[in-house]
Amino acid sequence: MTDKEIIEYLRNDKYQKATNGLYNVLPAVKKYISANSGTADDAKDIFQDALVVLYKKVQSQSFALTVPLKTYLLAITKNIWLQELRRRNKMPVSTEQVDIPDALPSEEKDSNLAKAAFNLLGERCRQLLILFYFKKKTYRELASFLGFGDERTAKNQKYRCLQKAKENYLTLSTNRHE
Amino acid sequence: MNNNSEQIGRYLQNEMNVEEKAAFEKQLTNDKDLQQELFVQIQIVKAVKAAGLKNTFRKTIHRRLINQRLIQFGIAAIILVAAAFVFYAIKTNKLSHGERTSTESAETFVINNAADTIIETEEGVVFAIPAHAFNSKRDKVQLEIKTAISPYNIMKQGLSTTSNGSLLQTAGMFYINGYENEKPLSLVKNIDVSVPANEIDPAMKLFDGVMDSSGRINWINPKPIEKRLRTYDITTLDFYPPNYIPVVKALGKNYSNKEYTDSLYYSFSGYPEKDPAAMANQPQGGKIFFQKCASCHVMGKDFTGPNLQGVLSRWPSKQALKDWILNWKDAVKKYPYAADIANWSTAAEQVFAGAFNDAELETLIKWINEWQPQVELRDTTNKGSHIKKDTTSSLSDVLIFEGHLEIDPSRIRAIWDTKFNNTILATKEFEERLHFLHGLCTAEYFQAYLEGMNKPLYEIDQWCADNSAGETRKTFLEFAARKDGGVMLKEGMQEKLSDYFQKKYKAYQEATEKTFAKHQAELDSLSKIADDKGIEQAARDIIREDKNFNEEFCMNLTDAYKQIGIKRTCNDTIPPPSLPKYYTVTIDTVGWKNLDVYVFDATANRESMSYTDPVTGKTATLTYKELNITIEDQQQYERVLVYLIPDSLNSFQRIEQEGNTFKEKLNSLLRYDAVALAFKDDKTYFYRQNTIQPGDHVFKLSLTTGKGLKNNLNIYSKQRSADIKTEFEYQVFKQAELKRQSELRKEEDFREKVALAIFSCHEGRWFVRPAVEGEDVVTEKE
Repeated sequence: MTDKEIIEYLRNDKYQKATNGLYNVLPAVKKYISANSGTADDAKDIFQDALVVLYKKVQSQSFALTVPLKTYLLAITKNIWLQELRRRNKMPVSTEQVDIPDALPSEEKDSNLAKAAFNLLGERCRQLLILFYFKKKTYRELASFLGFGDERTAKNQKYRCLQKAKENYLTLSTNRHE
Repeated sequence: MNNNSEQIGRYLQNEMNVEEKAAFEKQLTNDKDLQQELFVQIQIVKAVKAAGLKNTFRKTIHRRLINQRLIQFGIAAIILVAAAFVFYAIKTNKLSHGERTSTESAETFVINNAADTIIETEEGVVFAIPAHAFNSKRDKVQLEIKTAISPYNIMKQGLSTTSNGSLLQTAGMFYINGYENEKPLSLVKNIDVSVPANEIDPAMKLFDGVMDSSGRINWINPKPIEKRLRTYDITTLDFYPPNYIPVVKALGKNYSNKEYTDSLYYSFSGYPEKDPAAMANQPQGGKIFFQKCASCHVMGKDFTGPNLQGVLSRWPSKQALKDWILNWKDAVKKYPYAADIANWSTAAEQVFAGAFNDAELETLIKWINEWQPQVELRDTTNKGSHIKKDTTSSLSDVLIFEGHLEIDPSRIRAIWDTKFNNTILATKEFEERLHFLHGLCTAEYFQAYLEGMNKPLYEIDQWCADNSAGETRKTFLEFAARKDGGVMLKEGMQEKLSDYFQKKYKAYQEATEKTFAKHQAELDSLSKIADDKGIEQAARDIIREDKNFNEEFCMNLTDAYKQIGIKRTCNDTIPPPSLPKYYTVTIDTVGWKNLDVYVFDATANRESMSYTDPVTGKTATLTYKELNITIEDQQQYERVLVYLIPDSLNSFQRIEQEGNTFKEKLNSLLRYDAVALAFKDDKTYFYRQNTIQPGDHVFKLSLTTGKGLKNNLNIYSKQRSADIKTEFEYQVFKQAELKRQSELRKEEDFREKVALAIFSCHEGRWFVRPAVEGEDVVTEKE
């Protein structure tokens, strides 16, 4: 699979195919993360985050590669992990410099807050919002997938979950300011 | 914080109308809280999408990982069979060296480490030792084996069966170790061990024995034991969907002929998109559409006729649309829109008056109105219906399995092949799973077994369970609990077989498609022949009737004029072409022109006529008398046709049937022969009555052949017999065509029933995603 093909897969939401093409980066990620005070689970988690970042980056038609895609993905992974270590107040053992341009995840405070606010939700709320916003399910489908009686309930439930996430966000942001 | 989620949602999704949007944006410039809320909501939705994406990647990585593991596993598979507590000291070498000589029942062997070796002990334990299993550089390796399977041997050797102080139930123990010059060796390859047992208990586990300081063995580190699978000749297994053979049997077909059942089953590859029988699964409105409208209309785009999507909304009323369908010419006069749309194409719309009753029209319009483009036909729609059945479904179903067709028969065809002998697919255990897999609306799990041929079955069962929910998950867990093992594959075999499968699957699918296309083309060409012949026949009918009328009219006219003393030949007369025109003719002389009208009417209506000429006082009469023919045992025939062959006309005429009687009026100026023709199965029946008189007749038909028919008709003049022969030939052809069509219908009916047995969830496929109902405001209450 060429880099171009993988990018096309990502642009067309062919997640499995894209993953198959990028999968062999994972051992390198594992190696790097385990050498830098992370676990195998961390490695998988960070690899997933990196794929999400890559996915978002390639959506832009102006996206241009200066290095092989796998190198680029690995660079993203390393940067996310450095970020994560900083968050955990641990300095990496090996501070290998990753200076591939644009291989940085967006490190906005707000998006991290929103992520945290989302993760604070219950499993059901998370499912529901993902189904609605990511999988683009209709209310009717939500009702049948999640076992609600009718669309109206699904709709109400969705707003309740969204509202809860927004409240979480505001609480988190207030706490952080203090 | 205020709750404006709903409003913001609509704003973000661009669902507001212009005024609403303007109002909202105006509010936004002044309201700091609203600005913040909008910002937060955007962030949250972004986070949700990222989380969904991450979730998806988690699944894809997981799936890729599983595949990876499946491939790796085959290289180092351990298969242990039917043993319970196994004195398993090889790798750990934890038993003291002295143990080796302490019991008299130890058997020692010298084996060649460079070759595969199989050893069976006195107690029937079989050790299969692959070449270079021990890390010895030499070829000769000493092997020490002890077995204690019977309780007697266990006690005699003083072996304990305790695990960390608690007593275990044992099905036997064994010890094996390899030495090179008295030095214990370690194992670099796995050894297969088979321990005989009377009954298999799936709860049995394999323990490692560790000798403690007092010389007692403690059994630790229990591992579940896989059941080794026995492989069969794959072609003797049953890979059909479980309902398939019973249905074929119930429908009276040759269910025991595998060649037949195979070809029938495989012919459903790609069903139902390409199968005409699938029509039967259409909702009623769809059926009507595809039967009566689809030759000119394609839903979703313009074709010979315009796109009918949303057609109801374009018409002023449903009634107007109905009027248009039934008779567009009338509708044009009533509705301006109709006049508009009449110019859509130069091809005239068909007049459907009489083709639909009102209920059918309602159903049809409802179907068209609810029709939606089938985006992602293979995607969530059908999955949705599957999930509905499974109320406990979790998110993982929805996120992982995008495709959800039943297992295509071409897939089965690709694996039901001796190439897959000696794999897990060629086992009774897989057969049982496949019967279950057939009922799921997805081929994904099937694919998991195929890709995991070098794994033990229970691991694939477990994977399937981990990736399913509800009843499906429960069944997979039950399978996994059986601990059914695997079948050892040679290195690289998995990939080769996968590759083979993919190629074959594709080839079979294409082959089925080709066969289907060919079959369809044959049917189309036969139908076209029938249509063409039907058109020719209709033309002949018109010409003949016209000719008959003219000849009879001419004869009547000549005779009538003769009766009132006027000599007139047919050539003097140009028969009036049609009635309206006829009345516009200016009459300048009284007399015979009036008689023309009477004769024309009498001939056209086949009614007796009497006319007295006002000038001469003479009367002309024409006489038509009723003829009624009934056929003996008419109900036994599929089709009966009765003809009259007049002596003075050049052709024949067909008599219409009213109820059980064939009725016609005979002109007394003519002599008629009557001929009846009937069909039943492949047989033709015939009767002829020469010079038939008016009144009631009963015809008794007898069997005839094509030759007999011809001989019977040869008594007529060349011209007439040629006409009749053509007619009869056509009728014989039509009979065959009717039969062909009825068989086609039977076949379609049969295929539909079989399809229902093969595909458990295809009914939903024709139905489209329900329309999203209009957003209505949701008020939240705490």
